[in-house]
Amino acid sequence: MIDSSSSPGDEVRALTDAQFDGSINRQQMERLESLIVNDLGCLQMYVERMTFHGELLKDASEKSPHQATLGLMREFSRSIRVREQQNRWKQMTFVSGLAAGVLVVAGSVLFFAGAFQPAPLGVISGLSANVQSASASRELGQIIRAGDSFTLDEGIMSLQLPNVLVDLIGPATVRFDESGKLSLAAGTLVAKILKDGENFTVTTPDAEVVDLGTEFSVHYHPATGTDVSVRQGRVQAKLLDWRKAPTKMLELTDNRSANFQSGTGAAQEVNFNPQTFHPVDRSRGGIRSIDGTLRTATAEPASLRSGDSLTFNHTLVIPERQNVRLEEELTINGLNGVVSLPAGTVISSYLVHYDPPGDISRAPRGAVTFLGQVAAVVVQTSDLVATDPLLGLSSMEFETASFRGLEIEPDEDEVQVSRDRKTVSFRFDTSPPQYLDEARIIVISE
Amino acid sequence: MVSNSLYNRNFSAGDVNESRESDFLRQLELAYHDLYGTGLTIVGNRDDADDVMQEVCIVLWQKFDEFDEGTNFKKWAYAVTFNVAKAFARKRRRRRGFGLSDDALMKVAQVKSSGSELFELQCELLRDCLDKLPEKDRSFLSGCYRNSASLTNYAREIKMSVETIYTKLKRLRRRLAECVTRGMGREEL
Repeated sequence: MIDSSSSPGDEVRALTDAQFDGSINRQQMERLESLIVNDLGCLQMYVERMTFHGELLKDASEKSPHQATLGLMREFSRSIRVREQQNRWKQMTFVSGLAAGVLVVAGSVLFFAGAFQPAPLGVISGLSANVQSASASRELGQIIRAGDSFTLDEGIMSLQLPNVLVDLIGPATVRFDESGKLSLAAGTLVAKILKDGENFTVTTPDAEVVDLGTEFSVHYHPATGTDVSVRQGRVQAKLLDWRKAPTKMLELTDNRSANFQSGTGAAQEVNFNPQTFHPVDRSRGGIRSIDGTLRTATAEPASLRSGDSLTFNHTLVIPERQNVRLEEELTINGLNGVVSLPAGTVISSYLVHYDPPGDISRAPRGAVTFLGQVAAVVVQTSDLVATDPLLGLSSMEFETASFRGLEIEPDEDEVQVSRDRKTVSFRFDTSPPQYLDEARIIVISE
Repeated sequence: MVSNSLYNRNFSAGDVNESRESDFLRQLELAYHDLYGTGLTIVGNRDDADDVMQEVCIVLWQKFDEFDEGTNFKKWAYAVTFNVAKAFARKRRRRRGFGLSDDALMKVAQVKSSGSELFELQCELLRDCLDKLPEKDRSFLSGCYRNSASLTNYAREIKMSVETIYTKLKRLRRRLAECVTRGMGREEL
């Protein structure tokens, strides 16, 4: 509300602010017009106030004038390409008008049949429990197509692309350009290349990163440019200019990082930062995909005692100790009997935790698939307690009461291991009075 | 959005001459904030000013061959910016049904161009006043201006209601304006 009884200066200031903030209405605009056309002082005040806002915008801007002009030129370059494409299309359309008409009819039929949908490029294979995406809801199993853009406000989203696992760490925005190529517009991603997945390419406004068989991360922020870190393997990273033409190239191998900034033309090696990978290690470990109500965690819960880490509409799967080399033989009482793992075996552990707040009507179902083979699934409370010191995280407190484990009986909890021993599926019983259910999955590390 | 009518020249990205291009970028960079300020004064808000600057950049590059080396780039670019911004404001006025008239915009442009030294002095004072703000207030203010396109999202991000944000923003703007006025040694209008 703007008080028209105040001084003309205050009124112009308030009206100018409303215009800058986008809240001005017709009546207020007419009043502003009248004031600045008829009163020189008000006209001066309007310009001063807009200059004031311009200076505050400049102060708040994360972009230097250099970056801002480069950003504009990039837009400019892209516009020219779009224009050229439009021109080509116009020429083609002119020459083949009749044929185009026929194609349009045929195309319409195919379109309605769904044949013109861009080809699937991958699928959402994992979501952390805290995933938030204001732009659209994201679900496990959702198909990713060429041209799709994902913005993740919080949490970690895992994507299974052909022979590549990509983890997007929120806040981040990514666009899927074509098979094996994506653009990172903001935030961090970690890519793990599986067998035959080489030449997977990530492009940012500063750099093009081509994988040559590895595990690497890319982080982009307009203020700091693009950081590329290689944990294992080899990548080729090129600095791009505003026309997206490569100008410098670095090849990075194990435990090396580099920073690229198109604004300054810098492409230099920097200290390796292993922490870039930690959120994904902590959330996903060696999980390939999850299904159903399962979700990963982005932070280890401090306590998993009954009622301390409630799972409202999901079941948590938490990576515990990873890549533990057994110093002596480990004998475990698993789901299908006793399992012996010889000394020297390298294993990783995952805890499945289900603790709903109260009686729920539908039993949760879900499955988790690992990159390695499942050695055993521990379901009895006594066996869980016995393996806590070796495989559980020391930072977590565990429930010790007898209801912690699963009750593997008809019409109660169900657990199955797939024939290839890579997937474990669950159905948890939801009968009162105790709802907590936990199981520990021991996986042979890759 | 880039208007198609701007493409009078038949050229492609590959035609760009490297030294001409870097000369253009260097001059545009030096003039950027002033041009942005001019565009903002004419169209009145950040989103539209961003769009105007995109078009200004294209027009300047397309007409750069006409620019006479040795003359004042900023002055030349300022005229282009004003024309692009005025055309943008006119189009928006037709679409929205209201907005400042051409007459008002012309007067605004005259004041903006004739008083550049005064506005530069005010901006300097404003920068000093910003430096005197407590870090918390300055960070809040920066957040508001960085997110001025969507204060609702920003409100959610910092867990504050939109109303509270506007109230706080109004208070800080007033404090800064008073500080600048004191620096100029003049009374409020």
